[in-house]
Amino acid sequence: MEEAGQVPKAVTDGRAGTPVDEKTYREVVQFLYREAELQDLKKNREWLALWTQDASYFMPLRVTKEREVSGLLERKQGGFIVDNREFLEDRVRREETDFAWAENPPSRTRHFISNIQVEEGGGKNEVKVKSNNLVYVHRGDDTSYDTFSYGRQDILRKVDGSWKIASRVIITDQSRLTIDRISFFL
Amino acid sequence: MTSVVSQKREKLDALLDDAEKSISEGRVPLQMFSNPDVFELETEKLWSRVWTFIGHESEIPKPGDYIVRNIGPYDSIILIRDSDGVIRAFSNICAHRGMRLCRADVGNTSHFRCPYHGWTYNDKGRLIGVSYRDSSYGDYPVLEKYEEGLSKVKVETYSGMIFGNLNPKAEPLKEFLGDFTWYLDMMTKRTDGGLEFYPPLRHISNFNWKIGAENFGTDSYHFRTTHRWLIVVGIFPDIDFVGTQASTNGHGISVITGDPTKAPLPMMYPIHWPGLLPLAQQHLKPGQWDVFSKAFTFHGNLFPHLSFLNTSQGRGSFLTFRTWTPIAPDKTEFMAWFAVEKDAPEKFKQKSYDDYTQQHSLAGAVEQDDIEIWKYITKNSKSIAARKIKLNYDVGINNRNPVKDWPGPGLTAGIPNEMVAIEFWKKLVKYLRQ
Repeated sequence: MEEAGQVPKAVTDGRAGTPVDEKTYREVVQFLYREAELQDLKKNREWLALWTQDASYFMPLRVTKEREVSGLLERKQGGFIVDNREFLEDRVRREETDFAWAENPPSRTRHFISNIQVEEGGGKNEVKVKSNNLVYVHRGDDTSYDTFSYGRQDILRKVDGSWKIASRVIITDQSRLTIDRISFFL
Repeated sequence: MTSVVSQKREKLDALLDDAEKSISEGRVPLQMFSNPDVFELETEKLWSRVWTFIGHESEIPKPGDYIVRNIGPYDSIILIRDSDGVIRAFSNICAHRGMRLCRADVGNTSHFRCPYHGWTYNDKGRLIGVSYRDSSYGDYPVLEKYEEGLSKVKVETYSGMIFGNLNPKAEPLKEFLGDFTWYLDMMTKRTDGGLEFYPPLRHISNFNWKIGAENFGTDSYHFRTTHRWLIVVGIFPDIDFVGTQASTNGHGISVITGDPTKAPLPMMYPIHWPGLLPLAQQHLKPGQWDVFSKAFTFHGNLFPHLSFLNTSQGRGSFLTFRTWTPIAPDKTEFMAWFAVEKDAPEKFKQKSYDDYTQQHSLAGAVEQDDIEIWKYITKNSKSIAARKIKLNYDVGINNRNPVKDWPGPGLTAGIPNEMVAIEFWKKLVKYLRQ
């Protein structure tokens, strides 16, 4: 079992897993699309409800190395984001105050998801999901927009008949991030 | 007829005259942040000869370990620990035809080979080989002629921190740091092992570097407005920050202690790593220990652009260093290191890292609001109106008498204050003038 919040080997070794059955695949894809919609509409409470109680939301640092595509650093070497459930809740509470200046006025985002692969694995009642992601962001009267390209490796778990996100690893395609700031969920 | 060059000189002189006069009156012209002439002048007069932090010894622990860092907007520097363990720095430029030698961020090597014509340099920067030597140079002694190899960058360390200087005739680092080492030691010399720096987070954002430097140097005043959400959700108490600011030579620190008559602020280490306290007491001078043991936060800026924050803000205790390297008048590379005592328990290191990252960095729940503000100050500083607007630095104006019985060096004042920022600007203009 891959440990939640670690950089999964599959992200970097390209190893193919065992695909899930078609019904599960459709459920997972539907789940991800629904999640993206909640992100873009900033329905943060509903979005938070999609996570398990032991959630991990992790974006490792990435460096440029000779002859190494990955350049991803281990969890213990840090990260751009190292949230647990408690802190995801804090982020949601933050945006409910009048003082989340980076998101007031709110950014307009559009999350795009593609290349979705759903594989058996993780733990009991869990699947592993790999996807490619792009988010478009525009703020205020800015004269330009941000796009941010990233991979995701999720572990989804079926809890009481519904899929929940137990672990998400965000793989940035930049080593020096040029996005203004990350004040929304990836 | 006046030449273009002398017209430009006159324009710059007028700008600096205005800045100097304003700063002496506690004002800073808003256009100083992103005026392109100021940016150009900073490249010529500041980054070309000031000591800048470029890394920590713990980032290159083994012989052959290297990292690539920048000084100022244009200079890429290779920082390497050679096979003898000596830390060296070179311009990342092949001496033959100017190609960038190393295009990775980090690695381990015995040599660098240029991809253009194969000129090869060892870990001491010396030219040790050229491709097709016989057919290209015959008996011409190219290696001897270019024995110097890569252009050297002056490099010195203090307490594990590595500083580089593009001016070969620069004053010794110790002289540049001056009395400020008294304050640096409070953060870097609390245990036998000293600090380790984790790999830095790198982020390019749309603000001018000086805004980050003065915010960290002086600004405890913004906290309860910019970061008010922490108070609203109950992570942080709503109380006045009090304490002492100190400035020496343009370097500044704010030591926040909280108001002892009101609800106590979370102290730096007693909850999360009480084991640090006896070690710190043993390693620090009595005056330093007195300051450290009563503090809730240290924040500051080592001139020109190494900022630091050591605090319990949020849920844990952490220490971070960061540089604001200019890329353009309105663009800065923000490089942030988490630092922790090597001898700290692993559990504390992880908790401290997580707490730091959750609050700070471009996704941090605290720092993203700073970035929003810095971005709009920078935009505004390009306006026509900015040429006549002078920013106000009067916070603590009645509280700028030397703090009584303060054990540390430098000019001191009570917190909240903007004294440290004014001293930063004085120092900057001095560099731009010389």
